[in-house]
Amino acid sequence: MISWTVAAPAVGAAFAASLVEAVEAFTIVLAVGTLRGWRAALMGAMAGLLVLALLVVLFGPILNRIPLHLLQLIIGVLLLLFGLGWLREAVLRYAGVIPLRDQQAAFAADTATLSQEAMSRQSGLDWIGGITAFKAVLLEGLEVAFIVIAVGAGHSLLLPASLGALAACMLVLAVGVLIQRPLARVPENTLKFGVGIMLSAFGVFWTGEGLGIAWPGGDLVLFVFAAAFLLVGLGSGAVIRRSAIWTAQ
Amino acid sequence: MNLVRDVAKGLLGMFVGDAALSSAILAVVAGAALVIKTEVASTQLGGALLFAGCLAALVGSVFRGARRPQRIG
Repeated sequence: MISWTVAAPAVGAAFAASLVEAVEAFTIVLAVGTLRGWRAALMGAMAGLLVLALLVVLFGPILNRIPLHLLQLIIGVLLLLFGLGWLREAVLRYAGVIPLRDQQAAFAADTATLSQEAMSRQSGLDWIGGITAFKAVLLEGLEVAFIVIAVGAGHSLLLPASLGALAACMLVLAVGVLIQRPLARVPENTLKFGVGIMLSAFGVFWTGEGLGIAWPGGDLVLFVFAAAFLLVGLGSGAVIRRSAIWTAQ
Repeated sequence: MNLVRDVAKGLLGMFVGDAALSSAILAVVAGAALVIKTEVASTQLGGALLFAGCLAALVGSVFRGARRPQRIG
């Protein structure tokens, strides 16, 4: 029986994180496709998906052989490293220290880089474009796979988390094919802020369970952790914004 | 080999975006594990240490990041 107090945040985190990663991968594949045609872009993307699927099939069964407490500890620590890293970046963007990511600008930069690389190398743009699309899909896909495993493996939620991630990827693909432009309106930093909070909360929860801590309130303590990370993140960002305004004055 | 190196770099970057933050997190987890495994205090106190330590690591990293020029990924 699935507990929705854990399943809902897990599926939500997988969906939102996959939305961010799929948008980033789509921007790069779109740059390759626009610059050189869709053959190189699609071949690279498909190859990336194939390698990703092979890695999941190859390493997935290993998870079943690891004792649950050790698995929770390993995934919990990795979630803390990954989630707090995302949260840090999102807070710094919210505070105005790092500029917000602009998919239109990222698309222009990717296109310029591809053109420069093609000019400076002997190999054709098809090859460079294909490799670029391959790397984008593989790296962003690995992040999606990690998030799905991380939020799903500890409580047998791999299937719901996978479905959440798949729904996000299909949504980005459908909208992307429809408008054939970078998905600039996706509120990427807000999503990253939310996902960073959820992954950090899961990270504390599973690291603790892996260490043998019986959290008061059971699964419900996840919401307390998430609320604390939200308050601390927003508070830190607000203080930095305010101090930057004072310094400017 | 550039491809393999780029993928390995990307994978490492997933977990070690900011070395100081990653070190702080690992130190907090090690501290909590030490408290729990040596039974210095209750597991609940170890949990509180883990939770508070992660919040403190985040705040410290954010304020440190605000004071120095950023590399935009």
